Amino acid sequence: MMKRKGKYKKVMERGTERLLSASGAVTGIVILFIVIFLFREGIGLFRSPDVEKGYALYLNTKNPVEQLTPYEIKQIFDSEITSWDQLGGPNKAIRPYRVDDIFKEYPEEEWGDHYELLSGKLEEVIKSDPNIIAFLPQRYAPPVGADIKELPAKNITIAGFFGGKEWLPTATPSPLFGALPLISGTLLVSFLAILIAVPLSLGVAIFLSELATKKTRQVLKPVIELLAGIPSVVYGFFGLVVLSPAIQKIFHLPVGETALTGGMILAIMAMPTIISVAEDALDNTPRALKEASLALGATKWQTICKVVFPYASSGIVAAMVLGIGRAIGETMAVLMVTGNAAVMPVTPFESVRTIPATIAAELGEAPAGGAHYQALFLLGCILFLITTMTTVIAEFVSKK
Amino acid sequence: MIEAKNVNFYYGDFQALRNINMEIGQQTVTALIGPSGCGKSTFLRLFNRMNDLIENTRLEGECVVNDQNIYNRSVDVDELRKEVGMVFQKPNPFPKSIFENVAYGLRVNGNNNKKSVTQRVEESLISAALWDEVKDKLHKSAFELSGGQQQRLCIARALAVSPMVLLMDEPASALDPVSTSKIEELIHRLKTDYTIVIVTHNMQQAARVSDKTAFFMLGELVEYSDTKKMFLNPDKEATQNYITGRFG
Repeated sequence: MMKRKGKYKKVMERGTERLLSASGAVTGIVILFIVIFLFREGIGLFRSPDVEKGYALYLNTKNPVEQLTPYEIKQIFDSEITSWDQLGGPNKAIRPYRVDDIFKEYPEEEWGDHYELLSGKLEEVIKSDPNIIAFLPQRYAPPVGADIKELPAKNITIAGFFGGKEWLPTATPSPLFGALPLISGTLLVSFLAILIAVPLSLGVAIFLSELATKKTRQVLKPVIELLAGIPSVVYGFFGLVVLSPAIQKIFHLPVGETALTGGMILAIMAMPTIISVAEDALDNTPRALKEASLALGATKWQTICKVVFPYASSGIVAAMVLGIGRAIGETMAVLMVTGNAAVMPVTPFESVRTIPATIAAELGEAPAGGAHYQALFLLGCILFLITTMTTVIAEFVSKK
Repeated sequence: MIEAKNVNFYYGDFQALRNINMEIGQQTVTALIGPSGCGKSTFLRLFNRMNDLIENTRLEGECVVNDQNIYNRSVDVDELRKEVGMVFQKPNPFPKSIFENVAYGLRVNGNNNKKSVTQRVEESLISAALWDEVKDKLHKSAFELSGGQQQRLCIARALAVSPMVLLMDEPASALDPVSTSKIEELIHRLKTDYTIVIVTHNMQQAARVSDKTAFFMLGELVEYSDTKKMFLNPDKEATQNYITGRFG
């Protein structure tokens, strides 16, 4: 009987071990798969053409302009650039042309019921005007030759993505994927959050670990830890209804949804984490060291500054980095209170848009596999790298 | 010089000291002995108000140092602790350099004069019989020292602020015999300049280092007399039993 029970136990234990190692392996593989997927989709952006797929730009060969950047194309079609001399050509007005224009300008007979004459008609139009720039579907494109040239197709560049200041992913003919406003928006909001959260959290942590009585700590600490569990959308709601009107009023702004509002909401959200981890670190200072310091005639504050703080410094830094990680990755609350304007922020009192908010807001509208979709994935990669970096720093510092 | 008058001390509802009256003379070494939990450490920690750090404690009676009740409201605790230094059971150097450990007390008391700090650190390390061993590595971490050296460093650290009284809470209990004898020699030499009160579990140590001995049991001061008399011819039977190892 005893023997059988022992054997059964052994089999159970071995089974449990196998199960645990298998689940570990599966988790690892899934995470790896996600990362690979993220990067594969994201990097694909740089293989996408910088004008819409299936379309191209056509010029009259008399026009000396040989290539245009996506930003210049956008400006031409938005009538922000109106003369070819701004692009190295003659001092002549630009005539942007879309395929729709032909339908307006000529009767149906001239381009045919089934568009069979469209290509010839387009050829005629481009030939006749050296200042035209036509954005046309390649299917109906006029023959390229002595009179008509096609602007060479280029891929979206890394510099264009990381250096571009315009995020207009749905613009035609040339969508603009400049991630700089989004990256700087994310960094600005996170920076503001840290600026607000770190001093406040450290103050509370010091109070809890060094000054508060046991009873206060026993009540306050669980309450603070409870705050970390409130869903972010609830914080966002609070920000939208309370904080944002307050900021609008206090600073006399046209809108209350600003980077500062986002920073404050994030600070409130990150504080419980920072407080809790920092308090643990401070609390871990050996009693013997504190007593040694006090016994030498040091005051409470001298002891906190000269003994407790240095001893807990690595834990405090880890707490800060964890808070930063939370702030950078936060989506919902920020989406609700920052105003979502993808422009380069100059002051904290302007609307900004963060990377996670952009992904959340736009992924539903981006056709799968398209440049916009890939650009959002690439943003995800950037976010992933930023948060990974903060985690690595936290690991490194807390080990030290 | 040091005096306890009708001292009762409570941890919550538990009474740790019962009506203690005791006078300790200047420049003597007084040993406090007794079984674990008898209140001797609690009694020692009264004199630099270290018990203040423990929540929910209460004191009745007076503790007098330099003709002043140190539990009087007008007493500045930080100033008191400069006068009454303490060495703890386990060596507890700061995670700093040897030099900075000794200089700590000077710095927190506002002495930032580099020359005078350096001089005082050297004097203290010499007094604690550690100078020769550490003079070439003053800026190395204190944790590079052995346990016995660390404890002497802690003594040097306490001496640096020039206290009048030195409280020692089982200073050698965590050390090997060689280090212990070094600490004991040190106590002998320090006696000429400081009033020393030492808690010890080690009867031989009490006999070797102290001039007077106080025997505590269950929160009461059972007997207090010259060490010689205490160990050769104690008045009370309990003392006799404890010293001869029948309990404790």
